[in-house]
Amino acid sequence: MPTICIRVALAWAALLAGLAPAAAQRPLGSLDAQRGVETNPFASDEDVAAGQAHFASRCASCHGADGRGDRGPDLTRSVYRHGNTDRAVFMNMVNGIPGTGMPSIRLSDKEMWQLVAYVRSLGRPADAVTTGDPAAGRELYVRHDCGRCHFVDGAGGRLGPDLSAVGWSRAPAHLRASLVDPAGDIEEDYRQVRVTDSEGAVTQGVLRNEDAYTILLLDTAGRLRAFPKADLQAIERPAASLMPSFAGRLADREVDDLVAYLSSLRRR
Amino acid sequence: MKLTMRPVCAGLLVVTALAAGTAARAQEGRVTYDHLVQAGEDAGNWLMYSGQYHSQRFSRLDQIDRASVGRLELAWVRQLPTLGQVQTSPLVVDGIMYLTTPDNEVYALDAATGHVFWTYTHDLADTLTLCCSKQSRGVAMLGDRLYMTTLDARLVALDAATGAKLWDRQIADNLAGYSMTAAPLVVKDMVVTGTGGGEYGIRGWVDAYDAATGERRWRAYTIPGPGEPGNETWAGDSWMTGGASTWMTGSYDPDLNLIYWGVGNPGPDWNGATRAGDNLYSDSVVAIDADTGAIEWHFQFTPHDVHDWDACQVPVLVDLVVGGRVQKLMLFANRNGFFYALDRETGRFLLAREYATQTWAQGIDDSGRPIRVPDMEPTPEGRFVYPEVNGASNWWSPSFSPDTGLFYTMAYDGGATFYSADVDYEPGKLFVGGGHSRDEPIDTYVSAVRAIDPLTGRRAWEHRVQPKSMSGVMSTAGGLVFAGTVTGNFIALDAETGEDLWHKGLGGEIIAAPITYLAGGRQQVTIAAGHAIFTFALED
Repeated sequence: MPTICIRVALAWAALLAGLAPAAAQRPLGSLDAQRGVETNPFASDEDVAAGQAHFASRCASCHGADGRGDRGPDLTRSVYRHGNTDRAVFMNMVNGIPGTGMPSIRLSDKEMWQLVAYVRSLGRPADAVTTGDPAAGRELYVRHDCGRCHFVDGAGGRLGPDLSAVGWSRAPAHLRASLVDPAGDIEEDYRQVRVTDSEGAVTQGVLRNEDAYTILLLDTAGRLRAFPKADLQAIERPAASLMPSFAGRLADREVDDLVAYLSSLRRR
Repeated sequence: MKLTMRPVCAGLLVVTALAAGTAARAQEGRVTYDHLVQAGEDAGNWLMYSGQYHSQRFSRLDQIDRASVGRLELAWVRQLPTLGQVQTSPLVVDGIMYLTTPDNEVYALDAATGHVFWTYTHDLADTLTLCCSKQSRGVAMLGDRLYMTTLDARLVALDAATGAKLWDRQIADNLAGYSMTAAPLVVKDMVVTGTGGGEYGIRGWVDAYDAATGERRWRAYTIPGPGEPGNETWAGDSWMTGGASTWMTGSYDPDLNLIYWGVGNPGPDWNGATRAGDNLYSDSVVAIDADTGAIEWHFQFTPHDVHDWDACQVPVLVDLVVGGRVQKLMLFANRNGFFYALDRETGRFLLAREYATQTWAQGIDDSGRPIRVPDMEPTPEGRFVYPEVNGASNWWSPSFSPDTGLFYTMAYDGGATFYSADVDYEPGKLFVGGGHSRDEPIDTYVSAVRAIDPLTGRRAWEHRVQPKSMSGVMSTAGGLVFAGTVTGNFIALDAETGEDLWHKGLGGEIIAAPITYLAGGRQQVTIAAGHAIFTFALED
């Protein structure tokens, strides 16, 4: 019955042709359609190449052009903090990662999977290595009183970022840059601000939140403070970081050691 | 017996103490145990889940009163990024508000504007074993630390200034059904918490953890083990899977050094055939020595419960003059439809009276034990009983006003058909042995804020709301009782009469308890509704 076979084949072709545009028009990142998809259906070399293009436009500003990390984590590691399966990486892109700087990404399902393919292609057998000595770096951390402003595992000061998991979230190159040029890339939450109220009292701290009417700080005494802007004489925003630069204060080897110590801080 | 009473604390002048307390903390920047003991006098803050250790959810603030409440207007709203029903009861300390979302996020807000200082996101386990929806009802605070228990059975300590996580302890196995939704209670230098899981065949407990390190100090099992008094109230090995969860926040009497905690239903919920006996300490309130964890006394409201009537209510502690002497009482509007007054020093039963429609008991005898109506147990075919499975009240916070001497609670008159079924225990699987159905149209369901005289159990007044509502209530020195409805109305009633003095539609179910505090010297009232937090103050 060749005729019937051809008709059936044509019917399937029509059906598939009818479905294909629908799939292409699927809403961006539609989770329902991807429920239960555990392994990447778009993992060919062409998909990896397409994924690289998506990476350049969507991800490189935080993770670096080569994926080795900057403000965002190094993606060339063999282990990711928030999941290592194709699906985990896919879901982290779809949803973002709450509590981190990772936003949700809006692409079609196919483009998302291509992005997963590219990210997975970056992995290499060993974690990124740093050349320093973490134990020596820890001694430097204590000697230079970094804990006066930074938290590690529940101890330390509040003005600087919590470093308990900084080894997961920051690439070594970014850590090095933060040590020698702390004002080069200050997170929004740690920008210096100084406010003067109507009676001339000055409060200094780091910015926590701000809108047209209100400004919120963590002051240098470690207290949360809120000020109606209408009650303030002045708001100053010094460009300098509250963190001192260690350029010239530490030898290159010591910077390596400190970076190695910070990279080892990987509380889950 | 004929009783006359007057509230011991009525008319207490606290304005000076309030200001002094706030100033002391501002200097220290932290909450000490002494502050927690004195929380009732420090009305400018809201320092723990129920306001004070006695859990009266009463505030001495009176800027908003019967005369001015009509001028209450919206101060701010904070939308929360959750699909869940927000049930949090925030804390407010020196103008900073701390609250949780149903997904175990923690927010620190400026209480005057609702602006966010920081958020903490808990890395919840991917798979959760929960009887009900995701919930988190608040945090506890000691020093400069916040404490939250989580849906995946962890106890987390955060730095209150930054939200940085200090430590995070797995305190039970969520895959076996243990889960936490309540705010913990700080007692001395310990964080005290119970657990959910009464529908999963757990063995319940109340735990105390070192607030500095998270190490466990003691555990009080709410089902006695072999050889312990009360274990004989469970047939065979049924004690091992008997539930008796402890899923709401308890109360504390610093003078007696006793922690009081409500205990949940026995399991399986609706099939008691395999657990013959009273099933202690299910459906009880237990009094626990704060230093040792020893259960000093218990009182069981519903022996051998087969209707899922957890004693999950917040125990309200009051000191009243009875017969010429001060008596330390505990007030308890139980899920089984009866209001109880107990002597909280000894657990002695004083009185009980029906406060909502019930059909399962002819009354309560002189020892406090129910006199049961025959043939009210669930069957495979079903039996219709009042109150329904959610009870005459539930976890919805009650309140007591020392000014009016009245106890307030959201009460519900509704029945359900209860069914029984066979069930075998399997770890991490529902272990309920039946089900229930509500057979009446939902628009016939009636809830009411009811005011009860604690020494007679008689109803002083009621304010009816429709349909069934599940909010907590709060009373204030302004002569007001605040409550909410499932239709989203936030209401203020005259504490003496129940008259509706003010209400506002918030556009989302109110299944949470109100709080009040000072922000910039102005009294504010805050309530969770739908997916947001609403705050009201008097118009300028």
